[in-house]
Amino acid sequence: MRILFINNDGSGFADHMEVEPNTTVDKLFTQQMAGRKAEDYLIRVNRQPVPRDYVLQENDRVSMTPTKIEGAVAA
Amino acid sequence: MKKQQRTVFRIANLIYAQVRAQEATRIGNATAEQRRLNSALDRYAALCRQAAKAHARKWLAAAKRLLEQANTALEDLHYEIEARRRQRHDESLPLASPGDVVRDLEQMEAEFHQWQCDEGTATLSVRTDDIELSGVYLGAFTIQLNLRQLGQSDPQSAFSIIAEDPNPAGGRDGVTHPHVKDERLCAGEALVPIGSALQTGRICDFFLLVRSVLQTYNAHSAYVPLDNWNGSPCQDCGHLMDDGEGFCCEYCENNLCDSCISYCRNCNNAGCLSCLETCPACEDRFCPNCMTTCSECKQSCCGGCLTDGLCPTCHEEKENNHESDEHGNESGAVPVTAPQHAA
Repeated sequence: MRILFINNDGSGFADHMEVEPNTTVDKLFTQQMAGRKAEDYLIRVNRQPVPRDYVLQENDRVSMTPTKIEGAVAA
Repeated sequence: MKKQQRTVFRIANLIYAQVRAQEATRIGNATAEQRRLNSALDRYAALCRQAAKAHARKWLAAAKRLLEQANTALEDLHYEIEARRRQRHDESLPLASPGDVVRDLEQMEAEFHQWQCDEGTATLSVRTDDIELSGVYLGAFTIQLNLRQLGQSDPQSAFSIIAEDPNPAGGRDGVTHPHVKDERLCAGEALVPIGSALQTGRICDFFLLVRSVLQTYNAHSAYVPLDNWNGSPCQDCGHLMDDGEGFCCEYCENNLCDSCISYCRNCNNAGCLSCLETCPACEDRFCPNCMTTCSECKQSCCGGCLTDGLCPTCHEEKENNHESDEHGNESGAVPVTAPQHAA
């Protein structure tokens, strides 16, 4: 089924993608954010916080935004 | 608290209009890129044809030269293809609809408790909670987005970071956060996702990303490291000193670090390099009260280097003159006087 996935980590990827039916938010995070910790991210489905075991639905909007991002100084 | 629906719709339409305008600019740029790519392709193909013709006519030197030119053209073609490929990704990003923007504004109320919009200046603002990093209190910040600057090539110029309860770095009032200078954030790793969020109208994602940067301390790249945040600068070199760490010049009362403070070699009073003088004879430093002047040449000199009120140079000269006079008397020479001419 199709969802809109917004990854605000790195390049800020935002695009539609296909996921297997009954995919949970936790599973999607593990697939897309391998090696990262879920507690370091704001995870929203349709702009709402959801539990980890929330099962994604067709056309859901999923966003994952890191809560810690390193700034810098201007060159 | 829910905003009035009409205000929300007006803001959403303003944002949507800006996003669409930026998209039109991007399409124009993409068309220009496409033309450059076509030109590079045509040039490469032409050179290859000419090289083939030259080879068929056994003009080997000409064929070799044309192949070298074709190789250069191939590099240019490769560059144009990569540039076009990068642009193609940006063009495929889904843009937010007015409905999406309305929903973003609703999400912002949940994430930030409230947002403010000034339709006159076309700015949209949210306020963070108080921020404290590594034990240093920095206060709350307002993230103010200029809606007319969405999708600019430099995303960092589209918004300002305003300290609401400033605790700036010591001696640097413009640095209110390790990564904020003069209300401008250096977004570091967040720069690309911030640009992408603004370009596609994902306003709430933008504010969340900026907040994430404000809540994170990167010790390796800060305008002022938090270790040096509290304190006052040395008046000479600017080095930040912790409270109570510096030394006070007894004469100008400026605060100085231990590298810039000195002392009078006579009275031991502390002084800065501007207030102390250097004795030209011994090259030690003395305060104005402990320096004196040579009675002959009037040059400043420390008391220890004066002999009978004379600096070493004048004293030596005097000694030499005195010796010359004594040698002259011992030899019995009669002083010669010039003959007197009749008037």
